[in-house]
This record gives sequence, C-alpha cells and structure tokens, in this order.
Amino acid sequence: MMRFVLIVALLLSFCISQLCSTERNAGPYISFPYPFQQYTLCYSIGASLTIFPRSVVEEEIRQIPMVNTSVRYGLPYNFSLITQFSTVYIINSVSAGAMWSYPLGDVSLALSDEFTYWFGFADLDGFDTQAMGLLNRPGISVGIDIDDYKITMKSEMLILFSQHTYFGSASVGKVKPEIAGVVTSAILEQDIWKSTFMSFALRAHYARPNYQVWLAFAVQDRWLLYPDVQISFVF
Amino acid sequence: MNQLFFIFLLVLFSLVTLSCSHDTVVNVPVFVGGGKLISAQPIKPQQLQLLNGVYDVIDGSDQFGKKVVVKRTGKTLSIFTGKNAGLFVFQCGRIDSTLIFEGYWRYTQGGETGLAQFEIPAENNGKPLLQGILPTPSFFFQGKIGNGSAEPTINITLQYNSPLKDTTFVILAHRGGGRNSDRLPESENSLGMIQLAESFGANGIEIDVRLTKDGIPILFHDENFSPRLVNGDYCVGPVSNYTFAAIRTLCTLKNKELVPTLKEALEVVVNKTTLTYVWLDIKSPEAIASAAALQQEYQKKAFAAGRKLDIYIGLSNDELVDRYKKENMVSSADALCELSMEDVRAVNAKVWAPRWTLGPLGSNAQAMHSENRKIFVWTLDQREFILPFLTQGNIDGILTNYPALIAFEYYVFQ
Repeated sequence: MMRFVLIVALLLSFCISQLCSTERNAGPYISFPYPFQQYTLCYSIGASLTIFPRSVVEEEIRQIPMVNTSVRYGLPYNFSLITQFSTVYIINSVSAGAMWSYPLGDVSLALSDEFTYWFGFADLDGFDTQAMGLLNRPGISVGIDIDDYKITMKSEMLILFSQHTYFGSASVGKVKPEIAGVVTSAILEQDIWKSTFMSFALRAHYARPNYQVWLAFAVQDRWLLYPDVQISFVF
Repeated sequence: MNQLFFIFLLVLFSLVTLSCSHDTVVNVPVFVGGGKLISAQPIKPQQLQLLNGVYDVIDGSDQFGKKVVVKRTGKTLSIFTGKNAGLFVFQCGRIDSTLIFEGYWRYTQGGETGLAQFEIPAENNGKPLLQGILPTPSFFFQGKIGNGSAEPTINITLQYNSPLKDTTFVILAHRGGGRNSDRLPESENSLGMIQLAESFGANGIEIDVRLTKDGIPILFHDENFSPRLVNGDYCVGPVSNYTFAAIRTLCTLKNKELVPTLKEALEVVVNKTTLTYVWLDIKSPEAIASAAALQQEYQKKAFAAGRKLDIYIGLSNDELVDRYKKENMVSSADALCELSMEDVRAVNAKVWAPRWTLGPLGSNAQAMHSENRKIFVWTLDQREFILPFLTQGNIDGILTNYPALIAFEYYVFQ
C-alpha cells in the first residue's frame, strides 16, 4: 500500500511540475472534480479488471473484465449526479450518488458520496447461489488540469451496510454497518486522438474480501490489496 | 503526453506487482524449557476422555464465548470455542495425581494465539478423574492463557455442563487440516498437517492427489506450481511436467516440508493418527488407478492394525467418473461422488458429496440414505451457513477449513 501511495505521489509531483497553460481543455470528463456545466450530461463506457489476491481465490476464480458505464449530470451550485453500472453477471453493481466540486484555478477539489448496490448470481455446476449487498462510498478528490490531461486522485472509504446470501432454499444475512476498506484511485482523462476522449483509472482497493470475490466465501478478516484497472471512452 | 502515458504505464505495472500477498505463518508459541510437562508422566487416553464435554465459560467469555467443547483428540486434549473458530491444543501429563495441560490457544480464523496452561489439582478432581470418575456440574477446569509467547496470566475458568453425545458425525479437514492462507504451522497437504488434523477437531481429512510426470501420485492442490504453495525458483508451471525426483529436488512446500507422496500420507494416517476417513480428491483421471491401488493397500493395513479407516476415491467431474467406470472400479473401489445423484448411483459411490452452495438437501438426502450412502457437504466455513445444514440433521459429515468451528457448532447444537 505504501509503495502505491509513493508512486502516485511521484506521479502527482511530476504533473504539478508540468503546470503551465491555464487554458482548460473543454472536453468531456467523468471523474475530474472540476464543476460540471449545469444540466449537461456526460457518460463513459469501458471495462475494468480487478486482480484478486491469490490467497483468497487461489486457482478457483479466473478474473474476467467487467463492463462499466458511468453517467455524470451537472446540477446547480457545483453539484453533479453520478451513477455507475458494472456487470459480468456473476457480479454486478449499481451506484448512485453526488459530488460537490470546488475549483481553485487549475486544481479542483470535490467531496462525493455514492451508494452501491451489488448483486451476483451463480447457477453453474454445484451452485444455486445469489448474493447482494449495500455499500456506501464517501470520498474526496483532488484534480489537476494540465493542457490535454485531467488527472484526478480520489480516496474513498467502503462502508458495508448489509449483505445477504441465498443458497438453495436457505438464506443468511447481515445488517451491520462496518468499515470494509479504502480505495485510492489515480485517474487520467484525456483527448487521445481527434477528440476521442478516454479515461484510464488505476485503483487500489485495500479491503476485507471484496464483494467482487463473494463467490470465494472467504472468511479471513485480513485486509488485502485488490488492484484494479479501468479503461473507458468518455462522451 | 507521451511522458505522462509512460508514467501511467509504470504505475500500472507497479500496481500489478503490488497485488501479490504473502501469508505469514503464525507460529505456535512454546513454553521456555518445555514447561511443567517435561517431568510429567503420561495420562491414559481413557482417563483423558473423561474430560469430554460441553463447558460453560465462567472466566474468559469475552475471548472465547459462553460455551466451549472439550474433547480428547488422539493424544492431545482440545478445546473448541465458537468465537473466531478458536481452539486450544494441549499436551497432557500428570505429576502424581495432578493433571497438567500445556499448549496454546488460537483463533483459526484470525491468527491471534498464545500460551495456555491448565491444571486439575490432585485434591480437586485430579484423583477421581484418574480413578475413572466422570466430572459433575460442579467440576471446574481452570487455567491461564497468555498472548503470543508471554507467560500465561489471564484466568480462564470452565464449568462442566454436559457430556458430548456419542456420534458418527464426520468432520473432514480440508487439505489435510487447513490451507496456507489460514497461516497454520504446517503447509496444506503436508504430512505434518495431517498429524495436526485431529487436534483441530477432525476425524477425517480430504487431501488432493495429482500425478507427476513419471506417474507417482503426490499431494498437491493446484494444477501449477506457484509461490502460493511452494518455494523454489525453478518450480513453475504445471505439476505434471515434473518427475517426482525433480519435484523433491527443486521444490519444498511453503513451510519447507517435502512434497509428500500419497503413499507417505496414507502411511502417516494409518500409523500416526486415529483418523477414520480419508477423501482423496483426485485432480486428474490418470491418477485414479494408482490412487485406487493405494486405497486398497491401506484399507487392508488399517484393518490388520485393528483400525477403522474408510478411504474414498473422490470424483468431482465427468472426466473422472468416466475414467472410474472405464477402469472397472465400480465394484472394486470405494468412491465419493460430488456430482448428481444419478452419477452417484452410476459409480455406486458410498458417499454423495454435494457442494454446500446448492443449499439444504431436503428429500434428496432421504433418497441417498435409503440407498445406504453417506452424505458429506463441502466446504463449510461460516457459522451462518453451517447451521441450516446441522438444523436439517440429514447429513453425515462436513468438509471444512475450520474443523474446530464445526466441532464446536456440532457438539453444542447436539
């Protein structure tokens, strides 16, 4: 975790040292914390891949990319509505929340909070199982706009509110708020080629067994690192 | 833009390498100088057995819950607690008529551990126990625990509540006793782990069987060698690419043990444990014939030694079932089948082993029992998932990574 933080800090320092033009690229962005134009909409479509710790999934679960889509809608007073949807059938999530932005020249700050409802299905051999849960993700973002690039550093806490598992005719559930992890993200949004905008995100989930590995039914309480990469087209 | 993209790729690469995690073993604490047991006489197993029972926790419930199960486990005495799948493992002895128990406590789902030392003084139930008199509800089993290697100073008092019910329920320990990710003192699928399984609460084990390139069945779970299971820079890729001699030369298990053969493992089961069930989880069809031959050999050895031991060839997929039938094993070997009930019948398996994620079994369990087949459910590790199966009362055993937890839940539930 410390290594990741140091590397991202180096990246940030490099970016700050490159600050020059105050001219802001007006291209679309999803994560960048600069206030969104009121009543305008921006969306992204992409894929993400989370690398699961081997001690949790061993050789049993193969990581496959999830399809993601995000929407951001500008509201008055520097607020934005944010929604996200990710799916790979075995695990799916729907998030909705809000962001409040505060610009400081080329640097922007934002506070955000999202509720994520996740749900998964396993009806393959040996499984007649479903699971679902509710998370809250309060976060803080810092963004720097440098020429063509918008760089965002975001830190979120994962608060697990509830989790239910259904297996055959039985079910168990837990409704007890608890801190389940923290997520640190580095996001780069830029014009790649001829006004084609893309977003590249690197995330480090440092958490108890992540909802993405619900099918592993892991019981160890240790916080482990789950790196995550996401690439999206932004419109 | 190119510079920034390059740095982005560098960060990406670092993130990927950061994803590796290392399971640090939680070492068993030991008494400096060997403790009091160094000068103690052994206690007879039948005397130790008198301590079996469900006990109320008078002092120590914050750490271990309100009830515990005390049980003789081979030559050791174990205590199973509901909290964090905790357990105590004691070596036992007596100095005159005072009974001494020294060992460790451990949360198997957490990793916290410490020294533990209990005593039954001669004038306070020590003598009656040695004379074969059962404990009464006024019997207190007391001692102290510490944290880590610190001397035990925290009082623990257990009060006898009720005896353990006689049972044929099977508690099978996964991978010989537990997984590497549980940070136990022995590696998964090792000879040392098999010898610990009973003290963890198991009366059976499940072990994973693969064939080397030269046809030797060994104990190994994964298809490929990796830092998760082995040490050895030259141990990479499929296990089936290596001869047994190469594996012994190039690899050790994570706690530096040698990769055992199936023959060595069954030798340990018969001669060094009192385990009564072995589930051979066969990982490739080619291993069936040699595993079946060893199954026959060691069941005969166990019988000759006056031991009850059932060894099952585990069939987990269609390929294995087809090969089992092709090798004409249906009438000669004892199988355990994880697939449908039709497949169980097709191979005349003695045991049906459905995955717990299919849910409670309902009338399917009755059907299997009416055909004189046992039912083992796998792999159950969490209390909330275990209880529906125990409540239905229609299974014969559970495969688990935490036999201490199953032992606690089962005996307290009973």
